Amino acid sequence: MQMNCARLEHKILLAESGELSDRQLEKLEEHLSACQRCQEYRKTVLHIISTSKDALPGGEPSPVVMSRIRAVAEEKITPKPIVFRLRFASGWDYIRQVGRPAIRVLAYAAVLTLVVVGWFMFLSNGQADRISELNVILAMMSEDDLGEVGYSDGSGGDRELRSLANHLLLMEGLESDDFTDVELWEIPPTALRLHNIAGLQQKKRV
Amino acid sequence: MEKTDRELLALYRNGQVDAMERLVYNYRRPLFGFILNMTEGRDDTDEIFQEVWLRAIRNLGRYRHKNFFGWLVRIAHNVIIDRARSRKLDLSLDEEREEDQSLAEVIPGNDPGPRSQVEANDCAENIAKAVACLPDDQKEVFVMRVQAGFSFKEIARIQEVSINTALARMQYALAKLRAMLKEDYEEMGY
Repeated sequence: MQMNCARLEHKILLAESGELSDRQLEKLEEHLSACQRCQEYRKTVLHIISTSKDALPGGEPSPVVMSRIRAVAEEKITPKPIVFRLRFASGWDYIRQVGRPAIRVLAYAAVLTLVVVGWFMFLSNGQADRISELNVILAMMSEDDLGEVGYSDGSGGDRELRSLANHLLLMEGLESDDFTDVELWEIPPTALRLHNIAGLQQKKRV
Repeated sequence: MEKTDRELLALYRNGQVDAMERLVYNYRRPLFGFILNMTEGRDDTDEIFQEVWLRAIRNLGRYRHKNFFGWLVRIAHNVIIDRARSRKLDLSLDEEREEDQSLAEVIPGNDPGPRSQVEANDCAENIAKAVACLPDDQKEVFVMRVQAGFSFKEIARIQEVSINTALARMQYALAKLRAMLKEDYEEMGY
């Protein structure tokens, strides 16, 4: 089989570097025995390589360089003192390698805590505002208003008001056991005075 | 009995600095020669040689115990490229030359006298100058193959190219050298 001589130049180089298998070498030799061009090419390659080997400049590094390399090698394997290991002497690198997982966990915990606390604060504030508003509404109800439902003398009105307030506060999610003493609001002169509405107290949620 | 690279590295990791010193000593000539041929000044070569070993010592954890010298040359290859980029080196010429130009025309002052006056050391000097004139990628392949003795497979891995590309670069380098040293080789009968 005729081989492409141009392609065989690669094979000749690989043969020179010892990277051809025995079978490939055999086929190459078979071709070379019959091809003058490839023989000439191989001869030239081998000659250039052999003359260049001795011709290329060489040398050695200076003793100073060798000493520096040894010093670095020594420093690299010298164990560091225990004190250094306990400190963040390498600073950021140490924090990144060792502290990062712990810092991450703490950060997540802090954020979660803030979210939960903020949620409850929101709820409690909102609730406190609504309870406050209800109390104001009740306080603003005038004698005339209550008179229409038969509370003009003030008696019985407390009971009914208490019942109304209880119902409204229950709608806000407060349990009846939560009701103790009411916190009295300052009532404008024209408004009905609320007093002694037992069983109601605002819990201030922090 | 001479210890292998793997054994020396293991000894070094166990605290024996002499083992690393031995390794540096074993590879000082081939590595230095490679760097010297890829640069043009001895000062730069010393610096690069030192830098290669500093990087090797710092990154021993990344070495995978395949071919230690090949790993060193790869580091040297990267250091040389980094330096060339930062323009700290005066790298060899990257000019393309006409293939029919002889070395006498390329190198000024070279006396194109009778061939009989060309001494063996002049020939060697001419070869060295011709190699220095090769483009960097071809010169690197040539130096790694001829001076360091790497296989084309290893050269391809260091240069991060295919083996066919490495072989092609060697082909071009040989063709250029043959053209530049035409008269020298013809006198020798090649």
